[in-house]
Amino acid sequence: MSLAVAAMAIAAGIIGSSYGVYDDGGRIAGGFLPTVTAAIVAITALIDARARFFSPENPESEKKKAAVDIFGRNQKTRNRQLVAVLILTVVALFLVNVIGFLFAFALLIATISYFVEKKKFIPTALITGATILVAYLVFDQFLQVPLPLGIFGG
Amino acid sequence: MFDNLILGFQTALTVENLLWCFIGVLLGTIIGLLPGLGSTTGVAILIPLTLALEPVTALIMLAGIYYGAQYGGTITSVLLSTPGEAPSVITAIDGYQMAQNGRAGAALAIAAIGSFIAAIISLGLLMAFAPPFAKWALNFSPVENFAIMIFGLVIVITFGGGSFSRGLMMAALGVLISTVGVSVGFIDARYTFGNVNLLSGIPFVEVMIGVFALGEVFHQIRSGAVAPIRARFKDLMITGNELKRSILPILRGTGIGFTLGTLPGAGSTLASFMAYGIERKVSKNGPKFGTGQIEGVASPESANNAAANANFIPTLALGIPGGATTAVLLGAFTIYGLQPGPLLFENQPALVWGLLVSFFIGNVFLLILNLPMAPVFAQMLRVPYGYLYPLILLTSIIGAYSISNNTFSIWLVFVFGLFGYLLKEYDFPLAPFVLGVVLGPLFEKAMSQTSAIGQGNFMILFDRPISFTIIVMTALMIVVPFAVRMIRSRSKKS
Repeated sequence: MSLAVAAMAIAAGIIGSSYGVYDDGGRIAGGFLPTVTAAIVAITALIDARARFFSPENPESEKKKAAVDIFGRNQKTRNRQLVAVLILTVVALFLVNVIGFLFAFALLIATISYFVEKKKFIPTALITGATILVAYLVFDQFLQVPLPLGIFGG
Repeated sequence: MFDNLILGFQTALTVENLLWCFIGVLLGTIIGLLPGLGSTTGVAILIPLTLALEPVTALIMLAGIYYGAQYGGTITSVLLSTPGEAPSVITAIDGYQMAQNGRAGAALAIAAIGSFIAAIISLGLLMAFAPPFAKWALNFSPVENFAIMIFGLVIVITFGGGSFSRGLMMAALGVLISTVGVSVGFIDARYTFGNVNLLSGIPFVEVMIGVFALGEVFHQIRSGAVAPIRARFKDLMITGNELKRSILPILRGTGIGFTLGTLPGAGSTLASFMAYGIERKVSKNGPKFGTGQIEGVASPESANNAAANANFIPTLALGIPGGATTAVLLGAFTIYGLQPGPLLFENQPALVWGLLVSFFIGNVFLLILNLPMAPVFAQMLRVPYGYLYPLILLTSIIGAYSISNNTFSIWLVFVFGLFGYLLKEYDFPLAPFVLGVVLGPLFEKAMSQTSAIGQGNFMILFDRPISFTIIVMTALMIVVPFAVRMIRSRSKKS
């Protein structure tokens, strides 16, 4: 992680310096702060990466990883759930402009509850329906937020 | 001051403000105890809901969420040993042990009583000190402001959890992210890569919602759930002896909390840890700390709440947040068109004093709610997280969208959600990052003004007595912990 941050910071520093670090009067210009902060991030990230490389793995965290939670899910199952939720969220975000915000998120909530969390059909339907109704009333009706309607927008 | 207090009560005691204050503390308590949510997330997610309200009402509600979440966070610390909030981490040590010894109710009750006493004392102090402090701060030029911002950042880097280098990395990263877009005083569009959505920068609300709400959701999914301990009504009764043992720790915690809370960037976490450490040394039950001692709950909880109130001194008077949640609140001020800082007390007395008085009212609500209702709130810990997190996903993303009305925001939230998840997974401190993002634009403005005043020479910081003193304090803040660590390691070796 730290190495990736360092690499991005170096790139950000190079780009930042292109905005000009000092102006003609010797005062700071638009690129000063990006360049300085990027340099700090890069240096500290490299220090951190070095420290991590030489530090031994914490046995407690290994034990924690192997633990089963109260629903009997081990780390492998939880990792799979996380990947599924990430993919489903991305799909829902893409669908926002296609089928509208509320429909896209109704689909997301229902899919996560039923397929990822293995909840029964009735609770899934009730939770999804109630949540979307509350979101509609609060954001669309009360706050008058123009939520994307997608193909239902006419 | 009394005229201002009366003005504050007149503002805070309207039916609308009382109602939103109550809603704020109630939501705050619930938010604080639900896994995956905390005061910073709660305030960030609920900012959009307050857009239809008057600024003072909105801020009263958001502040209610802040200190309500402190109470809620204690419930999870005691019953789950999983603090909802960083300042409650230390409470988990003795609080959870008390719960395992069948004294969960007493732990929750003393946390509520201690927090209430601390909140009331610190409010009195806040009302007494904040206005003269703001008046004094009126003399500050950009040079002093720049020095104070460096000081605030260094405090949060040093005490924000994790190593100094990681804290520095996160703060610098936050500032770096805040430089995206066109800055005031410069003409270049930075890091926009031709995307017009980035011209006005990366809005802090999207960053906060992403890092705190979505990041925590992803982290919780991967971490799994633990079973809570049941708190019953009959266990809530606190004994006379427990109450007697708690009085001095509450007062000590309040003093420590208020003092540390006034430092820009210090926040409640440092206060609660320090209060616990000092209590452990001075209490006669100190050696037994960690086995379920009530002093180990009373002192850090009082410190935590006193610091939360004191955090508003730098936030309101200097416009520099005391911690992560006040940083988000600071951003909320700007959304309502208000600029926190010394002039706020002069230009918006009804808002400032109404907000301060609402803290008092909110804490009364919290005591009434928490003493009898703690076991009821505790039942919410039984809501399966599988039902909860899809709702958090929806609320977070729709909240971000409703501020900008732009689908680009929802992608930003997702990207920062992934980023927040990685930060949590690899144990990077979040507070310096938040402070960096929020302070970034102000920091750059103060820095460019200082550069202009000094004609490119930052040594001007050493020419003025106030900025010189602040820079010396900042240097000590960096050097002293290193020196202490070196001395300790040498004495260990010998």
